[in-house]
Amino acid sequence: MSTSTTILSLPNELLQEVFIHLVDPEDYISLSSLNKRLRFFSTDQITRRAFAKRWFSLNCRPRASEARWIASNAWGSTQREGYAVLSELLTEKLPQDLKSAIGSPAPNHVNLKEGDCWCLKHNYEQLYNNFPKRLEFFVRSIRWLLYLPKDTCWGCSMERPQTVAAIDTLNDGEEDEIATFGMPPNTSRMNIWALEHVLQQSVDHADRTFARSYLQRLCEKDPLTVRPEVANSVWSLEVDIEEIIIVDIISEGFGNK
Amino acid sequence: MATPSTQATVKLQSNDNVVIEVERAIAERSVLIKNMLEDCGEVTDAIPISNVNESILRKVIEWCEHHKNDPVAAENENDDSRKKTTDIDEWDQKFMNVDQEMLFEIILAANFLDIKPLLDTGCKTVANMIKGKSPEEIRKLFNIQNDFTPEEEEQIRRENEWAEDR
Repeated sequence: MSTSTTILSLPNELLQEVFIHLVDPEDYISLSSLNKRLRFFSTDQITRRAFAKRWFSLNCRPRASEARWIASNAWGSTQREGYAVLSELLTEKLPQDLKSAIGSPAPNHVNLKEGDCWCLKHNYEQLYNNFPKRLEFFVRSIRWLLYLPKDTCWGCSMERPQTVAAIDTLNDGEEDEIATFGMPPNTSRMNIWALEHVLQQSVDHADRTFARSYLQRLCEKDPLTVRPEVANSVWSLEVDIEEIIIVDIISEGFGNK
Repeated sequence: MATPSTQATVKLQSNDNVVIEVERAIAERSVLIKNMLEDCGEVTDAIPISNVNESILRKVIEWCEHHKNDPVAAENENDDSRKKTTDIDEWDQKFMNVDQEMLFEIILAANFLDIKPLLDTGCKTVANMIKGKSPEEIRKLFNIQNDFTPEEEEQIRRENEWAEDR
């Protein structure tokens, strides 16, 4: 036997397996804060996606029959209704009797994919009724996972930047900031994280343009959140920043990464 | 492909040159060995398991023996079904109640031998060890050196601030 096989002796793919098997997002954050190698892994998009997929499959998994029923009866007919429910959820203002809300079938539900936000709503109900202590954890977990690309198992049909903006509007009342910048400044920490993924993955010109312009906004607003190495990476791209004004388009592109 | 063999046992040789004879059905919990046997047919020589020493190999065989009748997941089930629970059954919990060095050696061996359920059990065990612990507690548990600069630590703290209790 080798003299000292430790967790850091594991090759990269097995460290990734450990991350994927973590029980809670909070454990993920803790493990990512230990040293540089683990930190690197925690920010890897594939690792985060795999963890999120497993976490949701374990924690947001109503029975198929319930899922179908909720998908066809309970969820709102438009994304706007989706935002409203999510916003209520995240600000902990869900109606006292969720069942009465669920009991109002929406006529045009078909534009929502099964497997979308019903899982969140369903689980909120379960948590709210049965595990109030876990609610805050769940909400925070959702907040964290919202920063993942929308094609993770979260699978929500909402665009991520818009969702984040909606949440932060409610949390902070910064509608003006959203109107001006597309996203409020208090999401910048995590967006820098996402930004790094964009850069690391050598994405196409449009995304790098977005990365650079978005970083510029962050620097203007909250320079302390921008790591020098990230800033240097972005500035070195030397791309045209005129597209800074088309926030909606670049935000959508960003959300898809 | 070679003609399927009917041999009842196979010999496995650890990297410290110990040969262990084991029922073929048990050895075939390892996808690596199963494929090798399917490709080669009758194998009379000991199969070298070059990355695994005797004590770990015996431990892995013990696990395979206990789980020899478990259904084998279909290939397309691998990614989902095997990961859909955080539970570890009682026997596996006892089996994994070993020192850290052996635990990580088992994980490495499971990966090398391609025994996914054992790999999952090992990773779940590590995940359970981490559950609910602070970064400092985890560092102590696994003897991990903090190699961040104070500035980096502050940056991480700020990045994770949103996840703390409000």
